[in-house]
Amino acid sequence: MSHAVTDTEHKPYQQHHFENMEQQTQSTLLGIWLFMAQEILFFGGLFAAYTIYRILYPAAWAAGASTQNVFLGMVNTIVLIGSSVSIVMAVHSARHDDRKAILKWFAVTLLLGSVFFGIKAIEYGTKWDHQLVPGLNWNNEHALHTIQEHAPKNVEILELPKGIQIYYSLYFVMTGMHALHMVIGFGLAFWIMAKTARGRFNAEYYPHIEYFGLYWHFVDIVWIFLFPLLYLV
Amino acid sequence: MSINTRLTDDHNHTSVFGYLCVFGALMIFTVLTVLLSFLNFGLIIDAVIALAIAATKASLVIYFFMHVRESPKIIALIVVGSFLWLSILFLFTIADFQAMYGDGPTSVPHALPW
Repeated sequence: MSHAVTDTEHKPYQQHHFENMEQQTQSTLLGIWLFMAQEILFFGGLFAAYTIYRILYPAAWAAGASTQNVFLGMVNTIVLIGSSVSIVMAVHSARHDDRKAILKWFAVTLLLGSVFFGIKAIEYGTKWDHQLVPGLNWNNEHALHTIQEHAPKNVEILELPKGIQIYYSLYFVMTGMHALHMVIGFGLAFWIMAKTARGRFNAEYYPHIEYFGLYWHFVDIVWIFLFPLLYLV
Repeated sequence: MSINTRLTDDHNHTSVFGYLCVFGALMIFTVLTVLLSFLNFGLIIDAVIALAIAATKASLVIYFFMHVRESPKIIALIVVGSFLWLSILFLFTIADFQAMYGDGPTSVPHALPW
């Protein structure tokens, strides 16, 4: 059996099926990144659908994007990138075994995430008020009126562009899936903050914090692509 | 916690200053992409510019914030591989679409009103 020939130093957090901590760390890092690869392909499916329909219905895409609030979208982008920085700082604090700083940076991350949710709620609420939610309260007349309001001055829109409901469906599904990932992230963050407060991590061992960072950065990257594709057409 | 003035510290790990530089670059790219969206170079070029900026921002996040810079090279391989696999999805989907409906939007049967 392996324990007869491995070194006597056996960390309490080393699992039995690994020879040493280095192998464990490399294996878990590999595993987490393979999960990231899956997530890329997961969102990739939505982006592929987006691509096809955008090619098919450029007028609908231009019309739909014109009704988006670019300023709020930009603020959300800045807020999410900021929350990525705060998570990087949390991982940095973990490397220096600064428990208070870890909790502080996690709190900052969740605060910025809440700002993101707040702005998203305002955006979704506005769309609901204008009856732009396909399948739930879509109204052709109101939609046309809203699009005409937001159209550039020299453009006159006489009828609803074909595919306009597909644009809004993709908007809600893609940002909704993204928001769901953020909600899951919040849950994970609370769990990790509890573990941190109980002193489960030290300067050598903080995988949960490191890998949560990776997850949160991924959520940020998805938004980095969603913003120009949905708002800046 | 002291802030290093160099971009790296002892074990070639990015310093806090380094992270703040990356944040600054990401902010600049964000503002740039919004400003450029007000200019119109044409449908395809607009999309290419926006995607190029987004890809640059994503690369910065992946390389620095996600610590690919300090990770074993296999991780970089997995990242590149994922996007390669994603491009296969895009390539075949678009190729299939072009083969069936390559004559433009009029060749797509509009069975549904939306």
